[in-house]
Amino acid sequence: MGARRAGRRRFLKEGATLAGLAVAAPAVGAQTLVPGSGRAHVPGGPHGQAEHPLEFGERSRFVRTRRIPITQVGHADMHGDPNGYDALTPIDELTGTITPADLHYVSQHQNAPEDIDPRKHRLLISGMVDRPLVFTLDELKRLPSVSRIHYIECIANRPNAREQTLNDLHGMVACSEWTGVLLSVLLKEAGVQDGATWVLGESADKVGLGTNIPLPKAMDDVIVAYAQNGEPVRPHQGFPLRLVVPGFEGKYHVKWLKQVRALDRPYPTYWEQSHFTNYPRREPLSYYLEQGPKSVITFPAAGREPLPDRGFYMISGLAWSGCGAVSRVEVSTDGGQTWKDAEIEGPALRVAFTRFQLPWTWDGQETVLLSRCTDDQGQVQPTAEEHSAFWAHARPPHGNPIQPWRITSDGRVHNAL
Amino acid sequence: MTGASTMRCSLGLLLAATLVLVCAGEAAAQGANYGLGRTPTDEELHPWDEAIGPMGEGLPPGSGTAEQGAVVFQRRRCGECHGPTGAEGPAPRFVGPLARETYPAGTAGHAGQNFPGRGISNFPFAPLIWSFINKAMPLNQRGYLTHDEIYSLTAYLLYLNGIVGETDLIDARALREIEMPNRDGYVPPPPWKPGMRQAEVK
Repeated sequence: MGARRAGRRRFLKEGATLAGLAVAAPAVGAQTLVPGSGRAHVPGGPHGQAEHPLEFGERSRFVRTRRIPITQVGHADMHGDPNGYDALTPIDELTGTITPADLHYVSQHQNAPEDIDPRKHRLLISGMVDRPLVFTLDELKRLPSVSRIHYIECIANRPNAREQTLNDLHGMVACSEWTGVLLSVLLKEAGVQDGATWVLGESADKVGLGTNIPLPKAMDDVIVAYAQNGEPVRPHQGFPLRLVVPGFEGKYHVKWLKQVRALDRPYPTYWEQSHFTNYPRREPLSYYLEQGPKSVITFPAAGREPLPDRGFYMISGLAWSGCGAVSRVEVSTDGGQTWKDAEIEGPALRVAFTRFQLPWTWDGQETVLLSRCTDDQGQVQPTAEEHSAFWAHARPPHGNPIQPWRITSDGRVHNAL
Repeated sequence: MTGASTMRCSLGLLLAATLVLVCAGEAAAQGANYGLGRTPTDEELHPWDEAIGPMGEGLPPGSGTAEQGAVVFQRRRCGECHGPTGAEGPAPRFVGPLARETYPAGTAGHAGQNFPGRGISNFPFAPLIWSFINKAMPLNQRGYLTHDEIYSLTAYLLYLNGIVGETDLIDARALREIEMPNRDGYVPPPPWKPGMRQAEVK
């Protein structure tokens, strides 16, 4: 063990010297060889230490893709909580439809993820059930599992005229493959009693987060997930257990899940009761549930390098719907006057990112690009005006208006909302 | 033995055996289909930080007054985050009017913003104040306050907003009965089915 460590240090030193890099201040290149880099630092727990340089694959030192921490006061206070701790998915750089787990956006009401020992963690199923049950993680993994690809999007992912980049406008969304046991399996194990209409999922986090889910949804496709993209869910995404409530806003997908209770009415938690009362319009607000259809062109997009020249480009983007699968994406390259069907890559999965593309030749003139998606429930992504009108009684829960990008003749792309 | 009494004996044995099995089942319940999981202990069944219901379901015994709450507020240094009179922030500012009186009708108030009174007067249910303090306060030191302290603090915060009197004794029943000024700001959603975008109240 000692000899191996010494050998490794020598490797680093000599490697660095050969490359002419200063060992004391690691540059990006050397950083990729630092033990444990690329793994989430878990506060209070041992920092991952690689014993051998082949143990953890690292990105090329030339690839700078990373989440974008939200540090401006306005955003950090987004939850009305100076301890809010958020980071955006870099969707301008993602390709395909799967978000790598370490780039999945973070939204939490505390300044570090929970550090939970999976051996001690328990999931309690209680409330209006015949048999309250406590499960260990090992037991949950023994139960029949599902692996499903689903996006998760934060309610705060609302584009507006102010923000300047694709990531700022749409970065609180990501899509992963989630593996776990269906909540319905656990509820059937416990035996839900007649009269129960809601379930409350509670978190082991510091601020007592929890959300109420209608029982029909809980018995449908809600997953108690322990894995993401082939490995245990990471601390930022709720290690060791989180809920995945397909198509509902991010708040429902309770992280660091410790308890699910069957109830005959919602027990509004702090965050819910502060969001489900409709202050300005003096009308009670209803629960926001399934999100609607949404699409956004990710290339060309605001915040990226300007288009170098007129000529051929593949317009590319992402589409998703909380109600079902994307069935159609139309793109306009002339400000909405004419629309063409974009090509949808691969099978369009239910409640998941779908990649679309359209070949386009830019003539170098100013224009506006737009995308509009339709889901298999027949719902069409609204324009900004339609979106405001639809949600006239409340602050919009889901920011899914059509996103226009203005391209000026210098190749720069601007938010045209 | 006659045939009838033999049958009665066997039936009696069968009943006894069933009873034993049922009792054993109650004592060590496992999942119905896969036999995994176990019965929680009494302590596990109701975790100390379990969410309290809107009608005070789950509130433990205990009580306090606003007068006592003011002392707890000082002693537990709540003011360090919430401000010396609970109104200054930077943590949620407890004292203030209803949000619908602060924001002109028709403008979109940011539900998450730390506007005055966000913390208390906009709660539709008083027990939820107790629930949140119990679960989450002080930040990073949850579980630190006693139940009586939490009743006292809840009373104090309600008093600061003119909802209860300084010496009113606040216990579980009192919390349940308080008519919060924003009570009609919350209406439980009607039944929902997959495919419904939202549980429309209107």
